Amino acid sequence: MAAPPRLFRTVGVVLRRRDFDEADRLITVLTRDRGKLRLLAKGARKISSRKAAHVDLFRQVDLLVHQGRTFGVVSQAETVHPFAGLAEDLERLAAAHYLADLTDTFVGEGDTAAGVYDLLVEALQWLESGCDPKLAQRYFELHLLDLEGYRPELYRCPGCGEWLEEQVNLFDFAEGSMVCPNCAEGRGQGRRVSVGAQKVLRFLQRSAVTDCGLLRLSDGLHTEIEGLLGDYIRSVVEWPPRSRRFIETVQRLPEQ
Amino acid sequence: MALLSEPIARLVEELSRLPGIGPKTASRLTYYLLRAPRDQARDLAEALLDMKERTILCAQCFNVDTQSPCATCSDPARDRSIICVVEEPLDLVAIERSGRYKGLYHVLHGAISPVEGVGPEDIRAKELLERLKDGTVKEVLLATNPNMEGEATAMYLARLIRPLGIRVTRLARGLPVGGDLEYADEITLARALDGRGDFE
Repeated sequence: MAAPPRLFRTVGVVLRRRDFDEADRLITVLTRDRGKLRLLAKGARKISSRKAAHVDLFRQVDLLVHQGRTFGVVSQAETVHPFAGLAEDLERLAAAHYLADLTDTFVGEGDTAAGVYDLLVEALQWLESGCDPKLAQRYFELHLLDLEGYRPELYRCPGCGEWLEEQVNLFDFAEGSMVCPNCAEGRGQGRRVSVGAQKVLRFLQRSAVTDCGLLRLSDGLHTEIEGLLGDYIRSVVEWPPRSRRFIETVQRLPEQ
Repeated sequence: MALLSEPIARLVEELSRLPGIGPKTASRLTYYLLRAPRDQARDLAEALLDMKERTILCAQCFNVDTQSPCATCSDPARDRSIICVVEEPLDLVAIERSGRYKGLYHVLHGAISPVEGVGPEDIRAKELLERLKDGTVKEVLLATNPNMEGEATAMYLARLIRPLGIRVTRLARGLPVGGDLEYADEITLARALDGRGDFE
């Protein structure tokens, strides 16, 4: 069997990075063709480094990687898209952190991730364009859950198999599905979902970014959907994504 | 039978707990110290203990010094109307080395990094706001690192400081001295172009 190539080129988005050794950085990159990679960017902490800016968080970057024994080592890095607009607004930046955190949580090393990669790039572009950061997060959550095999069922009740009627239904976290009031009795983990929230969830789940940009939601609906999807994600990954705490802090800040 | 005698193995283990030092480097340092004069080993041990016993965090700026308030905070020649906010004590040293800044400092001891679980409550942000309450400070210079974590920290602090009517400034961004223009990324170049000045 042929050995994997020791030098390869790939394009990815930087999800995480941490300092390593004297002046290096260890970066986690999501690529379309190779899934999630942990790479070493040597000297990237030096202000004069040629690579430093190109391996900053959320950058879409074209990488030439030399496969070492433990990590791939970044030989060259060139920005494809800097997503510079994210750093112009705190809400947008906090949302980008959350998207990267969710991606890192759901995608394991070695998983195929072409769909998640496309979704992440699409959501970051949408965020950068100045959309409602909350909407971008909900869109990303719903589509990420779908791609990772946890698509919430929003149309049929798994108990009786009937189409859900336009009424307050229960979302059963263990089932990952909306349940009609008759079948909801006796089910433990769940959350009541208003008719408005069900409509928004269905719309976000089946629509493209271009259509979702037209949505305008009240604060109440935003809060209801955020709470529901947040609880569902917690039930799937079993711990709250760390970056959620910062989003909540930013939401409490006074308006500019 | 153990390959290394107990005192050597212990030093290797202790050194390899330091950041950036793996078992191989730890072994090399240990054997260097083994061959070094006794005085050098004793000086090193004393310097380590001295550093731990005599250094404290300044109660005002949270820089590391042997006294509180630190030498900078208690220097009457310093401009008390401006505070430069840095992530780490070493950033303060770097700015001091430039010789161009004469104000006070505030060391955050970190930067907001939501993905790593570091939030505003994990850095000295609340203490900075406390320092701004008495009305002496007219400008806060945000000198956090020019990366996404540094930007998040700067934006968060700016949102809290601006309502107090205090001027908020950010270190300028541009090309590093000794760098190659062709390797600069587009954000750095754009900011260098925006901040261009008259040639003197």
